[in-house]
Amino acid sequence: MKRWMSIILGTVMAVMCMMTMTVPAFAAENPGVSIPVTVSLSGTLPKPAEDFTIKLRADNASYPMPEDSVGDIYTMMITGADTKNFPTITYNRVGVYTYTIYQLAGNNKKCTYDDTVYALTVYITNAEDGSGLEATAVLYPDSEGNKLPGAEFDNEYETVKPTPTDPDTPRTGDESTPTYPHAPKTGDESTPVLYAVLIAVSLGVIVFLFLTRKSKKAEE
Amino acid sequence: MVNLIVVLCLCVAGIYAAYALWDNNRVYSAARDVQADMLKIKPAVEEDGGASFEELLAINPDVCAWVSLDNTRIDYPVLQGSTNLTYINKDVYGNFALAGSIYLDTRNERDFSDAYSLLYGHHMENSGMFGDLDLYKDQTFFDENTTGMLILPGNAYNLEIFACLLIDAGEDAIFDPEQWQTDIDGLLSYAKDNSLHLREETINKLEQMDKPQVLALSTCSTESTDARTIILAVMEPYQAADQEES
Repeated sequence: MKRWMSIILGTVMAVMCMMTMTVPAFAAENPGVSIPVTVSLSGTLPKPAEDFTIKLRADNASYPMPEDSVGDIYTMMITGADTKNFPTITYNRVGVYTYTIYQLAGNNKKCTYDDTVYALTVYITNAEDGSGLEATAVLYPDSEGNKLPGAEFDNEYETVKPTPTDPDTPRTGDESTPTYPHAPKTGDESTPVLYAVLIAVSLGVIVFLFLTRKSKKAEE
Repeated sequence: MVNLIVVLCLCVAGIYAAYALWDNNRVYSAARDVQADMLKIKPAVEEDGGASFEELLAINPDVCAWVSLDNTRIDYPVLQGSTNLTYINKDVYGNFALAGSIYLDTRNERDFSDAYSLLYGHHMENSGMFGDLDLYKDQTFFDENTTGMLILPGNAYNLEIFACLLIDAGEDAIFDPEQWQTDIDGLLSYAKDNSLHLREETINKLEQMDKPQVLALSTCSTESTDARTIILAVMEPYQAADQEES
């Protein structure tokens, strides 16, 4: 019984440690930028949802990059229609840093992949009040235009109209063609699930302990 | 006893998880559409001209006003940071956002008691932030749309737009607000000479005022990286205007 409890305690501690580590740290000293990317889809969507490859490339290999970049490129996968942020890039030196954000075309022949190239410029300056560095980031499409709140890739699938009489057309199984025009789901999905599981497990064990205690008392 | 400790630990873990879920949801839903969230708590102007900023100030004590221009999407809280870049990439919640916030120059008084106050906002796509200042470059739109409002915690101002300018980012007449705090005439003559569109009768009215106050709204222009679109508006105390009518 004791061993069983220490296992539970250990697990709870481990999960809690994990969670405190995922709390985003906003460093006051060094400014950072985290650029949101949205994939929106139209047409007949494939099942399961396709993974889209979004790249962030520094125009100069010496520029700061998010952690886990390979050389001057960071690769982010987005599954289906979703919004995700590139990990924060932090800066410790004054300067102008430029990047390009683009999508790698996938292999699905029924999909037209958005080939827009976005230009990100980050200006790092000394704060007027001497409090350290400050960042100003602007994102433009490749042709000069308005500033954007994030990069967006609109991928278009062919709309499949199922014709049951035609033996060549495989049944798609999904006759409705849901489109997701700009309906971004933000944030990582895993953490909320983790929290929910933690709540459920906590409640479960409390109820279990309560019940066993009651039955023990009843035995006495 | 051990049971009690386990139950306590689990309770703490459960409560923490519930809080984290709630907090996550709050932060992410906020990121989805900050403007829609803000509009829900936009301060309403009361009869005495005052407005309740409690909810906005609870989110961020740097909020100092609310600005809106009629027939545009400009309808935002105004913040003042410790520097003029504090809110260039930060939303009202303090989260990183490319669109930033609408903010008041740090050299200005945050209660808008200055003779000349300067606001900045990004020129975003889909009329975001100060994107709609572009509309005033069109003569017809400029002629037909003159009104707006600046709401403060203690009072409010009717805005009457009188000039639209397209200038360089290094233009001191606009971007050095301190020089006009005692005498605004120099700014008015600059506006007369350099405006794309101008409303003479409003300038005449401004020159007659005891304590004239001008609000400038600045945004990047697509013409070139250093080009800025500027809108100048007279700030008329809301209550005084009411009394004139009655």
